Amino acid sequence: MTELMVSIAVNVLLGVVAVLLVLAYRRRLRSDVRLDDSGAALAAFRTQFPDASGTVTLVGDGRSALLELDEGRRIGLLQRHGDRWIARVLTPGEIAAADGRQTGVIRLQFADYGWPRTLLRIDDAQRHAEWLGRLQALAAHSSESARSDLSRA
Amino acid sequence: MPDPGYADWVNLLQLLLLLLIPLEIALAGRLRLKAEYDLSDTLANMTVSVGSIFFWGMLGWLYYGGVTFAYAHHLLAIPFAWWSFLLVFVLDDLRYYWWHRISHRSRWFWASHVVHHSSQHYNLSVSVRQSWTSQFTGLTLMNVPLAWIGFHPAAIALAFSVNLLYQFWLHTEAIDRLPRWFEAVFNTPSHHRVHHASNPRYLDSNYAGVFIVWDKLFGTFVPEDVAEPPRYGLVKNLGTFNPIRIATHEYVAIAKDLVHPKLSLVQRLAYLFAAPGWSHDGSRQSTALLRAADLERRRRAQPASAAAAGAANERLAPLSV
Repeated sequence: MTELMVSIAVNVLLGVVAVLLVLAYRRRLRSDVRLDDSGAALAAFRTQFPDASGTVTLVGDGRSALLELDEGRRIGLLQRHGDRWIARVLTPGEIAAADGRQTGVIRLQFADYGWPRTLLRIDDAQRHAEWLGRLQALAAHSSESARSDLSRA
Repeated sequence: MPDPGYADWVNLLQLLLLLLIPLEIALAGRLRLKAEYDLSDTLANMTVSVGSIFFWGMLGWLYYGGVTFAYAHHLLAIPFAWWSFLLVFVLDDLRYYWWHRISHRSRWFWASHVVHHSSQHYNLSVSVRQSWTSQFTGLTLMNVPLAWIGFHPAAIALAFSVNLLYQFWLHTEAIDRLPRWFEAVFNTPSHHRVHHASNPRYLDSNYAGVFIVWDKLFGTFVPEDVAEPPRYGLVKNLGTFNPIRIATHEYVAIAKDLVHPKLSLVQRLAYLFAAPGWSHDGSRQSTALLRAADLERRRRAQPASAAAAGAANERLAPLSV
């Protein structure tokens, strides 16, 4: 059993080294996928939510986007993940906390073990304040719902 | 039990297969084949792979123990010969089909198998992104009947190994389509790309290991449509490359659902064993709902004359459970 384990582990190690070598050789070590404009953000978001429509705020030098969906009733988030994108419609219960104490930055904590947190850079002070307010309202709604659930239990 | 003597060959083959990963990248560059690698994703795949090997080593005795125990009480004396190996290979592939189908259709088993589907890439390194808990779910007991019938445990293990090794090369975009006769009988990269896709029309299809005929027989076959390229990953993709989170995230989600207040026992059991996407308040989308919404969207987008054709195509992808 030990022999088999070592053998397979060596194989995997060899695979990792080989991948690193080839990736380094091909200069693919860093991916630089960015959103050029709000149209690109909406198109990327629609691959996951085809019916989505709304206004887009690009954040973090095109690495993320926040979307006002359904005339502001819902919030969409598009976030770069490696060289791919993650799209979510943020529902009550999804955001655990939204922290905007650092200038130009919103730190989001999700109630999702598979996506624990993210950081959004919004340089424009007014937009930062607007989005922080919306996201904090959603986070507050999440904690109220949780309290309400517990009190009903 | 006699030493089967093939373990070294299987290990050697595995080594050679791993070397195909850098080869895929290199050849894709030179021959302009499609192979998209992201460093973080690839490293996550390899790290998850190490974990899966470790836990297989720790809990593999459950598999070997179950099979050996069943063989000690076997019904028939089937010799270890070429013909019996061919027979056990086909039967084990049928076992794999149902193992795979259950792994997608019930959340407890999906929590283990989701690991393999959680990359948004599709390349050879994804093939080693495997579950850490496959021995833990109880589905390995599906190997027991073959031993109980009378197939030698070594023959069953060899069939299982060859099956998994076959599936390694399916995880590539570099190979488009193979000859029609091959695509008709065997699982191919094209069929397996569909299986890894999160497009609603491709969800829960093509469970085959080696022989795609099982999907055709049991109504789960969906061909790859060049007009709709597969989008790889999950319906709700992960935002982490942390291998521990990748390996355990669905179990954490299940635990959160199970402690949700005001649920009946049946609802709690449903969160554990019903199809992924089931929820007590209908707030989540199952495969059936996603596909129905997708079909409705296609109907709205198509002229009336084409709608009938669309519905006919949809029948090719039934939602059987």
